[in-house]
Amino acid sequence: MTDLIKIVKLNKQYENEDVVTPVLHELSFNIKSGEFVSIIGPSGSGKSTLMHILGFLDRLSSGEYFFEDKDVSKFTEDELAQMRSQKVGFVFQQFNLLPKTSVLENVKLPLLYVDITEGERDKRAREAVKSVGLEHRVNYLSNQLSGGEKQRVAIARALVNNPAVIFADEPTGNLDSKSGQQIMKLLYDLNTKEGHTVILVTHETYTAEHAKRILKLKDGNLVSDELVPEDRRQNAISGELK
Amino acid sequence: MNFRSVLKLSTNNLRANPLRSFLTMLGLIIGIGSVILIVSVGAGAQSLILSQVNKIGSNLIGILPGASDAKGPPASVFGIQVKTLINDDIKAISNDGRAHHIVAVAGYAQGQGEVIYENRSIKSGTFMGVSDNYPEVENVALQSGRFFTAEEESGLARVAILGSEAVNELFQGENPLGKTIKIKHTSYKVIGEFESRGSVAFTNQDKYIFIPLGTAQKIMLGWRHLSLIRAKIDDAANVDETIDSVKQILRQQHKLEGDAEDDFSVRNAAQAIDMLKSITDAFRFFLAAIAAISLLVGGIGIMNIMLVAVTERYREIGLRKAVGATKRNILNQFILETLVIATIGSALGIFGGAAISGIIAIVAKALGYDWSFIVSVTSILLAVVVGTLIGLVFGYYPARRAAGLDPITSLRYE
Repeated sequence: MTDLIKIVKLNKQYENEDVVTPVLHELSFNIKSGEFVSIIGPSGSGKSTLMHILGFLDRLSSGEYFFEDKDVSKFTEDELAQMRSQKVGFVFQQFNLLPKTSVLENVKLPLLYVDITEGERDKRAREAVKSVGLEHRVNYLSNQLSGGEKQRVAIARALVNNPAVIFADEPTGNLDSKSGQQIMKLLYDLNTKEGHTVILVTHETYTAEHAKRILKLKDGNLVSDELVPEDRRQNAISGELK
Repeated sequence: MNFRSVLKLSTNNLRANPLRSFLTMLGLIIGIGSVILIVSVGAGAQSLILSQVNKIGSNLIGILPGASDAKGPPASVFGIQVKTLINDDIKAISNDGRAHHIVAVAGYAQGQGEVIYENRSIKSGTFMGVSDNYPEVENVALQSGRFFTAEEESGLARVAILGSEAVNELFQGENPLGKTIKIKHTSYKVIGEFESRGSVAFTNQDKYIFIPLGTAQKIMLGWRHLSLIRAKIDDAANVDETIDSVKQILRQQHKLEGDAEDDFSVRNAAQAIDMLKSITDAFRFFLAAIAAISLLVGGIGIMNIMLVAVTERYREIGLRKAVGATKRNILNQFILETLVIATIGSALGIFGGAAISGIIAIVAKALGYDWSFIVSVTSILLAVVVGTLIGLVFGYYPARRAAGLDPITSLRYE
């Protein structure tokens, strides 16, 4: 398998009125297509910033970032927008659905920025809604849904562009444990059954162990990069530890 | 990016807050409405003035008692009694060789009083004492019957010729000829009926009752003076010359010498047009000022609300960027939203302005004026162009703010 993501000596710092705040320090790692990777760390460790850089929402300060062998660090803003449109899908802790808007319209949103026919948009959005098991809710408004359902809609929205990688930023953070478990199972199935690459950002070890591999960050440094033992992973998926 | 889906999203946002959307548009609606109203009422007023003046004829001059300056009408117009015009003036004008272009001269003495026929009455009817050549001067024909003769006039005959509306009101379908009516308790025999003329020079003579001038002065009013003299001139080209001659004759007749001010005023249709034009121009200027201020305030109002909308929708903007929207996509969306507001506002303004102009036209027609309801294509195009420009100008800044937002910070915005 080829490397989907290749990071070499990535640094990120924020500069504000001559005060330099280092966030990420000399990170290097690769992620292959079809992997399920968790990025874990306490708050302030830089994990969200790393996800934003990997997801083309933010830029690195120095180092190299190759996505599908292309040097992303030299991309213009419009090229980055195009990468977000075609290559990645996001799932956020806050769901971020458009209020008073139907499930179908919410899922269709990323397709508005792709040059295809309205009929094609409709077809793809319905498929995505079906793949998260919400076809009976397709015409509901986003505020008529439960938290778990909202996050499923968000996952459908992330899938609708058929992206190379799905980023999930604390996807269970706003959910009760049962709904959270279902969302993690859905992400697990998308990886194992559909072959989607999933990158999960979380501060919970238990949630992180749904992945095959865990990158641990502390104070902006990569402190470990380990595979999850298969028995622990199965425990997490079956929900036995909870 | 698909235009239709963006348009749909824009209208979704407007429909989510209908009251706010309407209030946002209000300034623009008033502004655009005023523009339409100005142009439409201006055209209507112009058509009215032209038709009124055409009816009275450009070869007619009027002599009113009392002085007037170039700007304002004489006091007699406002119902103030001025006694400087008398019957001798009529003779002087018609017999003087200096005013040889004059074809006919008629004197007028106007009064008010109750008019009764059997059990029907007109509470404050207007009776007009006129010279026997009145039909020739005003170029008016009889519907039926006859006008009074010179003998009847000098003999103070109590005969009356009715305007068409007065006939309708008093006789309601009955034949008025030969009937006896009472004007202020004096009996008159109806000998004729004028054809309908509508409003002429802003007075509706169809409502009047015409009696011999001498009868009006001596029996009804107890006057020696006149309310008005009208003279018909052979050709409109000789009007200015004749006005000068008439002034000379009357100054001589009234023994006004040197710097003494005229105690009469001579006018014709052209001057009436000028006066009316100055009134409609003031009206237009007033509306144009309202329109300009409303358009500016309306534009600022739209910008203000769009800036609020951008702040309210930080998360939506962040999300759109996260799923692939470029700066230009966001810019277009917000400009389009402002344009939709501006377009709907302009459309409502056009309908509102046209509706008010239509009401004015209906009221004017009901009052007997020949008012045309005109909404020109040019004014609509102007309104649409101005509305669109306002949308673009005042929509650009909020849209640029939205487009420049950082997706990460806006996604986290609570």
